[in-house]
Amino acid sequence: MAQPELGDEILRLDNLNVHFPVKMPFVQRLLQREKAVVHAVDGVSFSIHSGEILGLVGESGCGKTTVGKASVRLLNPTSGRIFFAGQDISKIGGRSLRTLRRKMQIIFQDPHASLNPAMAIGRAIGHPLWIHGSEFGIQNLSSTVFRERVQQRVLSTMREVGLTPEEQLYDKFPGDLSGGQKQRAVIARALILEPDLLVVDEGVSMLDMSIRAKVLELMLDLKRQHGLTYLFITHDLATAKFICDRLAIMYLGRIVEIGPARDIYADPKHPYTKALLQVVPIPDPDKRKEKVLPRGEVPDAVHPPAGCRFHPRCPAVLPSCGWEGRDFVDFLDEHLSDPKRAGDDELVLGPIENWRTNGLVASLEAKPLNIEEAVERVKAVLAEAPIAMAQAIESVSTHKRTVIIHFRPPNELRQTQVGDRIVECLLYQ
Amino acid sequence: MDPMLQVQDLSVHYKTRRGFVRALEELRLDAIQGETVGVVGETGSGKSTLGKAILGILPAGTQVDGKILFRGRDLTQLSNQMYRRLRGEEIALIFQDPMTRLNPLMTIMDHFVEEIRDHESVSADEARRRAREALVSMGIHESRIKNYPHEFSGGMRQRIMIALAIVLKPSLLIADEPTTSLDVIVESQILGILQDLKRAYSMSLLLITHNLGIVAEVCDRVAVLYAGKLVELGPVRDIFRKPLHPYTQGLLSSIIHLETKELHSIEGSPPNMIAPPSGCRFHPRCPYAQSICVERLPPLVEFEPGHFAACHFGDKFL
Amino acid sequence: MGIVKPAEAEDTEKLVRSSSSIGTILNLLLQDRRTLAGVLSWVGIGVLVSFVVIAIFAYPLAPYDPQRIFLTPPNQPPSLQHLMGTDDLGRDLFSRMLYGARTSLEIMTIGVFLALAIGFPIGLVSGYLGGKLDRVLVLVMDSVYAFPGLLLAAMVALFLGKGVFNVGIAITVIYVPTYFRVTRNQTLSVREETYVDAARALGAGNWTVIWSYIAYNVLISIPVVFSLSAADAILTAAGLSFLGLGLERPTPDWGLDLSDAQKFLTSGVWWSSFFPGVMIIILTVGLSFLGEGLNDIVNPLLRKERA
Ligand SMILES: Nc1ncnc2c1ncn2[C@@H]1O[C@H](COP(=O)(O)OP(=O)(O)OP(=O)(O)O)[C@@H](O)[C@H]1O
Ligand SMILES: Nc1ncnc2c1ncn2[C@@H]1O[C@H](COP(=O)(O)OP(=O)(O)O)[C@@H](O)[C@H]1O
Ligand code: SF4
Ligand code: SF4
Ligand SMILES: [Mg+2]
Ligand SMILES: [Mg+2]
Repeated sequence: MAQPELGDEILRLDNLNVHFPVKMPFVQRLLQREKAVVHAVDGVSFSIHSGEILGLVGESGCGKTTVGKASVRLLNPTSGRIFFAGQDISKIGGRSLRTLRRKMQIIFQDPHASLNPAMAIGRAIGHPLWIHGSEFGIQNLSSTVFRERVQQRVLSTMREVGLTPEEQLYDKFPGDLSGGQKQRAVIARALILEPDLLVVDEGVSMLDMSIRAKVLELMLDLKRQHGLTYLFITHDLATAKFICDRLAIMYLGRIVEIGPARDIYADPKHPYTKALLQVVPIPDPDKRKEKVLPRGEVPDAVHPPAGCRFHPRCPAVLPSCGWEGRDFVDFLDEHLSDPKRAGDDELVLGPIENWRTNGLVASLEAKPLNIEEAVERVKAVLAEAPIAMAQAIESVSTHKRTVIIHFRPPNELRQTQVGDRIVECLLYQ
Repeated sequence: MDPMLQVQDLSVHYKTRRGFVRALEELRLDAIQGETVGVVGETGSGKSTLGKAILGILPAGTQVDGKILFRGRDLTQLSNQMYRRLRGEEIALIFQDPMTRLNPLMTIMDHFVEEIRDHESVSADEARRRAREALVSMGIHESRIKNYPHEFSGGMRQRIMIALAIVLKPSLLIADEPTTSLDVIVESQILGILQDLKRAYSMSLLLITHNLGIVAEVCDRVAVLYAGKLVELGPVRDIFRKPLHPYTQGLLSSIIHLETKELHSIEGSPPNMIAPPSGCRFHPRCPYAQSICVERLPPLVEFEPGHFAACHFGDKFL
Repeated sequence: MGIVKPAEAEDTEKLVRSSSSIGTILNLLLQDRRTLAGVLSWVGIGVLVSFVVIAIFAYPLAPYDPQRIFLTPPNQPPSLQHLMGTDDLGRDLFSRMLYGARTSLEIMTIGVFLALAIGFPIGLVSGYLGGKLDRVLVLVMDSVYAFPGLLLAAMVALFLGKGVFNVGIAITVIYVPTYFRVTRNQTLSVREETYVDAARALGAGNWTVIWSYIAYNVLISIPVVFSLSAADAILTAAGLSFLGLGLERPTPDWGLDLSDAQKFLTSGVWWSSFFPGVMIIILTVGLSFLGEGLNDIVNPLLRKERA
């Protein structure tokens, strides 16, 4: 089937970077030469066209919210550019930004937290009109007429999003509403300004299954009726499949795969996308299966892994994917903490704190007498290591009393076009 | 086998200024050793209330009727002191949000040592050794045991909570939405861990969740709650293949999974729990409701061996 | 079976209490009537209300004019004529105590309200905007805060001269930093709430955000500070009068009366020192009860620690 005709480009991110300074004590900050930063978003580019829903999917902490917030300029990009309807908005501020806010709205994960507990629902939904009154040509009206108009608009918007009975709910406070109602109120508040772009950050994950379907349905309706464009952020691939036209898979600050949703679900390319897809629960007790999960946790975004960031967890990893000194130390740490496998390795190679790493190198100053022994042990341990890591090691050598492990430099990782998709993985390069 | 846990006609009414919230009404449920029972239902259906009632941590002034038999002992008759011993040693609870249970000012080690020494008179060294063991069994390296809760990611915190819950080797573990605040991969990891644990210690697991996908993957039996009433109970296969209660049918069809072609939802919204609807509490939202449903409360009937449902027309769906 | 006993209750209520508004405080006060914190608060409210009534109705309540000098010998012990006796000038102590409540409450109201009116908005703006302005303000306020309260008030009072209003101002100076700090800290945390981000995303400017989204939610932490600083203000005002820096004689004022009475203590005239002292203590303790009670009720973290 041919791709439907794409509308105008609404949002484009161009090599967006958002880094957060790491909070640390003053003294430590003085001693540190380089400023430590969280690489929350590191070189993200994509565009969204009018009437399209782009899904942004990834694990918790990978930077989805940060992309969403930067897109509507709730955060300032560290570098890179953001275009909204062709206009570069990465540097604007003050009044021009506030005026623009009318056209791009964001909905957060927790509807309860998104509503001011001290503001009644009707007033909360109408508040954007008070803020942007002038653009609706209703500012010069007398205040009673204005109030009247706002109230009419609020009530009709409440009806539109199914927040009924609207007259009763108008004066209620957020604490009196259910989760689904609160999320509808938040949606109504965003819609009352008739935005062109809606960023939905985990907008349905906190809702019950039975309500979730209704809210999703509402979002699809709004897209059809108002030609609304969405950036839909979620970690749930099943929901994304249902609602998204295109999908961007994000891992640790980078987009690793992006393309038409249909293709990605039919044939995921990136090993991370594959992993995500297979953990989606299948509601059928007869189809239980063992899952092969990526090992371990999402690494620290302050020091992202070299080469491909997924390599320490990737089930398809190659020797050229970015292995480095600390991968060896991490592996050794794991090895030593299992008494059955470790035997007396700890005596020779431990404690783990004695190891130093520097980029591609890991080194240990051996205790007297047993430098040869240490090299032997390293080789023995490596035999149990993931093959790809073992193969990535260039040499295990000694210098005076120090055992040095050298890794080969990784291959350069590029974004590669695969069919309609862009994938960032050496397997496809 | 004799059930380890038997909940008999349990009613829990919270006292509020507007009246009694009937959070649970004449609920019966049992669990045998080594079994995983899923408890599902919408927000406010009484799932957490059930967990809290079993653990005896309901707020003051709450009215509780009925029996909760644990290995033959009625928990509702227990003195506070006995209950305190029981919690942790025999029954443990894992909360949805781990931060509510972890004290930000205490290291992980302190949490463990406190938990162990509260219940058993062992030396501090012994307690520490067991703490390390529990932590390592959750795949967290023992070098991190001196860290504070906020220094861990959400998934790790949840694993720490689990480690804390099982360090005294309880025979019943109640997990209240253990993965709702986590993403899919971590969720999968945690569920895997719970399964392994259950096998290793032959624990029973009461898994409270609103995610039916999870239930299909890990549970042996399922209890479906609606507005404080048990509306369906049965083996997981029967529930998914042949749901007898219209509410269960609605829940099942509202699951969004990879093969979903069309969204379904249950019309209407959850009832007011202070003055619940007459007769079958589901009747205002039920597509099959007849006048009898408004007038008479449907009893819980065993339509197939082990498969119960509370619907006047349950046999229609057999 | 039966009703759950209080000892078994856990922090499940916290969920119910997490939303915050002034109405919530009232609700909690009503709900918590039987807890220690509730009793403290209600006792405090009782004391405060009685003193306000006394202050307002001092004229009909007092048997005599507080300035009136009886020609009987001074320093009469309490009797049916003079319920609290007379002082060294032969004035009726009971009437002076009632009118003294008016003076104290006037000073307290001026001092504490002005401090609130200045400290609260500055704290809001400083906390929300941050940056250089915030740092300067924090520095200034912290140095004022670090100063011993009575000493500072004495200096201001010395500079401004005597009188109810001037003492009020002197007290304002002490408490502006307190309100500033509380407001600023609370603003810093409310600023991080999602609904503030949401308001900014709607296009709200700084003033709108501060006024419509932050102010009210910060205000919730004020009643506690308010009661505590009011209690403190009563003491400070009395202290100033006692030092001779507060009010002009013959204004009926507890601190002033206490100061005038103490030299007769040695000759067995206890009543003219005792009653002013008791009045000061009852009002300050009442206000402190209210403050501490509210604190326990409003602050769920404190609740948990106590349990
Ligand atoms: N204001 C901030 N200061 C410092 N670090 C931050 C800040 N906001 C986000 N981060 C960090 O940036 C990274 C990405 O965070 P982000 O919130 O975008 O993740 P996410 O994918 O939305 O996660 P989740 O699904 O949990 O919401 C994380 O490592 C996070 O800790
Ligand atoms: N402490 C409480 N006081 C009053 N009502 C409560 C309290 N806790 C829960 N409820 C009410 O009891 C019902 C069941 O709550 P809960 O068991 O928490 O539901 P679930 O876990 O399924 O979301 C709801 O109507 C809820 O509002
Ligand atoms: S480049 Fe591809 S194969 Fe290599 S680690 Fe990354 S995802 Fe795995
Ligand atoms: S009893 Fe009636 S209302 Fe209730 S579920 Fe069955 S058919 Fe529906
Ligand atoms: Mg997020
Ligand atoms: Mg719950």
